[in-house]
Amino acid sequence: MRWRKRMAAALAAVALLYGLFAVNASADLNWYFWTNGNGNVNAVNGPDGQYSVDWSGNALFIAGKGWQIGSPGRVIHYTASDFQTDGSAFLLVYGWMRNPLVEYRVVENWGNWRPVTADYRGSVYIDGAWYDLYHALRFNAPSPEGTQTFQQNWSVRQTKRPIGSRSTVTLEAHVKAWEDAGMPLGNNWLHQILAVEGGSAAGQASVTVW
Amino acid sequence: MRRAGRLSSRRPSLFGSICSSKGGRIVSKKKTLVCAVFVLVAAAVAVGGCSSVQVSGAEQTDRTGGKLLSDQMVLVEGGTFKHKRSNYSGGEVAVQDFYIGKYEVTQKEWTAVMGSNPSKFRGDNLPVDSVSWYEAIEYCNRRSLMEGLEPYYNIDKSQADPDNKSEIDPLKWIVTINEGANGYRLPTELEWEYAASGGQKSKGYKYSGGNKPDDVSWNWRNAGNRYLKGGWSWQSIENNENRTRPVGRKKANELGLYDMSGNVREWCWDWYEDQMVESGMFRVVRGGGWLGDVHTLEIKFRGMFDASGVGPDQGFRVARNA
Repeated sequence: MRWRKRMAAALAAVALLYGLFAVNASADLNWYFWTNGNGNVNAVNGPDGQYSVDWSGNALFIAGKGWQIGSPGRVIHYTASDFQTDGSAFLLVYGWMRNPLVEYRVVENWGNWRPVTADYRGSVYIDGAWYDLYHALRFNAPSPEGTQTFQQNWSVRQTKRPIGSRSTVTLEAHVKAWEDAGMPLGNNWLHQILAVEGGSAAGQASVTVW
Repeated sequence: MRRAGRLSSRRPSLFGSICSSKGGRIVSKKKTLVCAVFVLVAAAVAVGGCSSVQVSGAEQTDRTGGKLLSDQMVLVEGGTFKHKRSNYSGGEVAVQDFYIGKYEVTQKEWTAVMGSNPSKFRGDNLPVDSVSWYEAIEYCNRRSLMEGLEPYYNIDKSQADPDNKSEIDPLKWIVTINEGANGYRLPTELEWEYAASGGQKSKGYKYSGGNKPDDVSWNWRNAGNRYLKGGWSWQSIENNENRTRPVGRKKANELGLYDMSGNVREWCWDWYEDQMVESGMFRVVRGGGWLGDVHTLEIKFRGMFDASGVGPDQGFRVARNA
């Protein structure tokens, strides 16, 4: 009977080792899909960190995967195997913070319109590329706290991130850049996702996040 | 021995004692009925005389002599917070007695006073929406004048309020208080939370009137065509035709107040201030509404909004001194 005990111990050891190394990095990812119902949006929640979306007809939507509780220190990895549109859409990190209420975006890719606002706050070099910083104020607009006048922080890549590449967004660097540029930061982070935000005309995207 | 017709050997009741003529013996059903009615009416008059509301003709007046619609305003008995998890619990903070509206101000009430209706959603019994803090203050004063009450506020529009630190407020009126005036006003933040928490009758709920938000409030999940699940998003809210609902349809709280959680957010008198936000930027809004996330409907959630801001989820209810 001794060999059974040895086998059991060996199996337990293997299981323990497997548990240590086979970490499912996307286990805590949530699926987010919001649309106002315009146009046609087909968003598919794939396995683990994968998702895809295609749209047409002036749809207004956000589809992506991410975390219910955001973090200023998070390093977000993704690969967009497909992102194309003949209209306006963004591939971006999107989220909210409270105290004060701030909606933020780190825009990695876009369609026919690169987002800019009138309040340019400088440029920073992060994750191997230059990003322009923009600030904006939204008046009497919907927010998680009801209608609010709230601020928007934007980091917009100067050139589109190449499709198909393993990409990293070091959020901490963007947060520091916003702080240095006098842009507001909340102390309570709400959801934080790697998403496709669209969009006019038609388009499609396929993304994996981890 | 014959038993039929024998009197009961039990002691007569108080009723029986009053309404019988011979030492407990009930002699006539008709006389008993007349007597019973007399007793009940006398009791009602005796109880009514102890109330703080004097009945004067067709109107009722409150202790300050103003007209009081007893089905619209509730007298909130003051004291320290009985609710154990409010922002003011466990301290010495005490509230004076005051009156507060049973319902959010409706569009019918607003239009009768102001002559127009700014609301995005239309209906007599819907709460008025899209009103700024300044407009709510003006409503209070105008309504006071219409009802023969002394206006509670002084409004100076001729110069900017030096205490107003907002970068986006185009009005910055100076609004001060006439102490002791009996007119309509906004509740203070302290009064609002005290009333929402149930005052001296508090049962310690998370939302005003209960722990289940859908029982006591119109919120972003239940205020539209379909019940919405998942995380908050305004895109799905807009698609769902979320809107305000007639006041008083959800469960009231311990004091008989409706929609303190949900429907529209409610302006309070105070400047908002905390460790991150200095006083003078925003006014306090409480209770949440049909648009924001459900945590904003909690009794203890402190919301803020710039005084000149308007939104389809923004309204108020009135208060008066007692």
